[in-house]
Amino acid sequence: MNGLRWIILLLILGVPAGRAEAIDPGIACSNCHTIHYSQDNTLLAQWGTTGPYEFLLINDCIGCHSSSTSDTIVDGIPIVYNTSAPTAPLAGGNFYYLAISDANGHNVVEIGNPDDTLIAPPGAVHTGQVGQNELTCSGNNGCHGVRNFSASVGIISIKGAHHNNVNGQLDVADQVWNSYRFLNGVKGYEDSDWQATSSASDHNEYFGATTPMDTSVCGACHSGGQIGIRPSSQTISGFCATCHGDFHSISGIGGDTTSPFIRHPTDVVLPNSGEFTGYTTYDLLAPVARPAVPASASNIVEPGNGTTETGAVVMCLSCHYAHASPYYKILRWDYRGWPAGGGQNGCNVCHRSKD
Amino acid sequence: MDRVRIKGAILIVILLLLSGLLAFGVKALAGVFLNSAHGNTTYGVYRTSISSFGYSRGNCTHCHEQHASIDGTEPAPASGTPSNYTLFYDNYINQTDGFCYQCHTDTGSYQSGGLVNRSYSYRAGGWTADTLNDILEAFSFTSPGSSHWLDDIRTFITGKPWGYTQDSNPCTACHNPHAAQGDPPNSPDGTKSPTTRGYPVSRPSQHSRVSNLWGLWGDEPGERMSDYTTGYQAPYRYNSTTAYEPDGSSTQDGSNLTDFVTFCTDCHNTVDVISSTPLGRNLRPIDWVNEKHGSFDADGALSGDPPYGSIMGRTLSCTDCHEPHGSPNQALIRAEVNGATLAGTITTIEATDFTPPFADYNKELGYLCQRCHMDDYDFNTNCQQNRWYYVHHSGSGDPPYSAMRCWNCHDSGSGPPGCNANVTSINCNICHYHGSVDTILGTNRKTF
Repeated sequence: MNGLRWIILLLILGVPAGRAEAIDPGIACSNCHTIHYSQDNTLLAQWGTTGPYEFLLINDCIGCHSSSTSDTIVDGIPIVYNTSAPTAPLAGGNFYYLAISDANGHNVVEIGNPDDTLIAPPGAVHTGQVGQNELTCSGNNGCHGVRNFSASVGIISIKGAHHNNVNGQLDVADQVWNSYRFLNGVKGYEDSDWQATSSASDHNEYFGATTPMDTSVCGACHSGGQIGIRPSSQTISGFCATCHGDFHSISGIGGDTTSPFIRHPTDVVLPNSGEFTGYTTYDLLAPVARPAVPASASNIVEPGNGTTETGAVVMCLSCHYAHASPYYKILRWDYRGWPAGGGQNGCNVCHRSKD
Repeated sequence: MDRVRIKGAILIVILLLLSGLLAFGVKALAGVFLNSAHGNTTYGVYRTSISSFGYSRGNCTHCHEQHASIDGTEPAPASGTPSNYTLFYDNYINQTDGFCYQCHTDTGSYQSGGLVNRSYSYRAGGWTADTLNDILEAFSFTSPGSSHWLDDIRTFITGKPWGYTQDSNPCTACHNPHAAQGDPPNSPDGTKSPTTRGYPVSRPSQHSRVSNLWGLWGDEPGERMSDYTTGYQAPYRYNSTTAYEPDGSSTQDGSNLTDFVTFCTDCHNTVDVISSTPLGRNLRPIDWVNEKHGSFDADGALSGDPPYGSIMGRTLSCTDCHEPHGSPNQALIRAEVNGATLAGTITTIEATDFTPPFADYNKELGYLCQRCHMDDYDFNTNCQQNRWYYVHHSGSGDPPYSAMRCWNCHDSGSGPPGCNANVTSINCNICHYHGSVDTILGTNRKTF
């Protein structure tokens, strides 16, 4: 075996579980980068207009992940912000809906629609954690990439992530690039088309724990041996708790994982009792997280199962989208309008006898 | 041919579906919560501090705050700390403080527009002069009145294998908050009628956190007084001799009344011991099958007022005499019974049992007895009201006690027998109470 083969073998073995989806070598560098931010002494139409950008990029986060059409996958890029109503919003939701109300989404500064109400993350453990109109897509005050107090402002926080991206089953999550959707430290299973198509057996899978983090402990949010913010639980709810700590901590729900709760619990197992036993088929209206990261999506939900890939864990995203939704408070259904507005109350997916 | 068969099959399927809808009615299309008073989109829960955010009436958030925060602050009432079951106020604190009262009060209610709830005497008895108009008020009666004591209820239900815990709200002993209906619904100053009925109670012994398993009691066949007994006789409505409880119709057999005997005897029975904090003793056991006011028959004859008359074999419902929440009288005794209000307030209930000498001359309980039993005045207008010579000693068809040995019961007075004899009448309650039997004077009769 010659040296090149050894290198290839080591690279394969070195890739953690999950499917490597680093940028296709066939994609031209110029799809994303520009050397001079100038072509024939002008800007190309596909470039952003507020450059030049870091790392010789042609645009910023929103610039690349947005579209003036209704399509949510454009040239293979997942679109999180359509300026026209999206026809098939992706799993995280779509910032388009911020146009309805500030309360319909996370008002990241890149969208240019600041929140007129909130001046801090509701439920924040630290006052002044993220100030008014300071929330960004990534970095210190954002969600994606390295959330380092000093060194991660802007696009630098996800440096290399696209090039090294791994998707599919992500059960290591010790780097941005092998974390679920570049949410540093978060485990999960990434659906290959971001749920542009979806069904009970075609979806993301989120990682959940059986006990929420104790956000009174620094290490809950500042974990992984890195300066900055990473949820020690490596769950999607733990990730939310890094900003909304009072809502999703063990003390915030009442001190333990048994009813009665003082806030709606997350990172607790859906009980295998009473009305909850009826939730046996994965429901996109109110999805559950899994106590173990699956290698593929499953339509099976097993209340009471807190150990395997078909288990059921309540999570923030059981009720909320991440980016923005058509509904008040980024909910997955028109909860505020129920019952007068008709339709199904997503609460009843779990609370099946309260309809 | 095949096409004909297919059309026939489609027609059958459609007919089956339609018949199913008709069988279940509109009610089946919505769940228990949407059929409840709290979940109704016209008159359901509507907290003032939540409605301003645009939440629909009947929405969960009017009671449950998933995060104890909206837009970064806790909606009113803001106690500073979240409450169990994500409720907006502590589930239960004491007899007059707790979650339910935050809305079920006519003044200071968090329910937009306030909330009026009437007594059973008002809603079923038709006594619309009753000024009691909210649940907090009903549970605020203390001596000489009485209230269903919530601390004791919670202690009791927690001790039963019914799934209650120390965190349970004692109101949920009788009410499923996700199912309870108004009776009548959305009619705070209305009385029950055959067309405006709802069903507010659920049996504690059937309690479940699964709301559609812990159904309402009284709303289904088999859950009515007419199912409990064929001997039920409905009392009159207030100031009427043609309209009967509970809905003012001419129905008298209990087919329109929840089987409250089965409901109440989940707790008040012969097996379970219930400690009463206000009374400082255990409540008397209820053996309704073997009590004369229950399924057991009278001895010899009965001297009742209309509509009971002299017909033997009648069985009463608990609610014919008792309020469920509170009353200005002792022992939750209604202020209006069988068509009229009591002549006075019952401030005292005896704790001792059938023990001579009977030196207790309190006549208050007679105010209740008068409503259904003939007193001396009913026999003879030359006699006195709320005296009971005839039914005990003469002329009633069933006078069990000789009028010749007065001192067996009466410890003062003297003179020839008669309704106006110069002997001091004694407290009915000495000899008549749930479970009472005359073992002292030798008849061994049931006396209640």
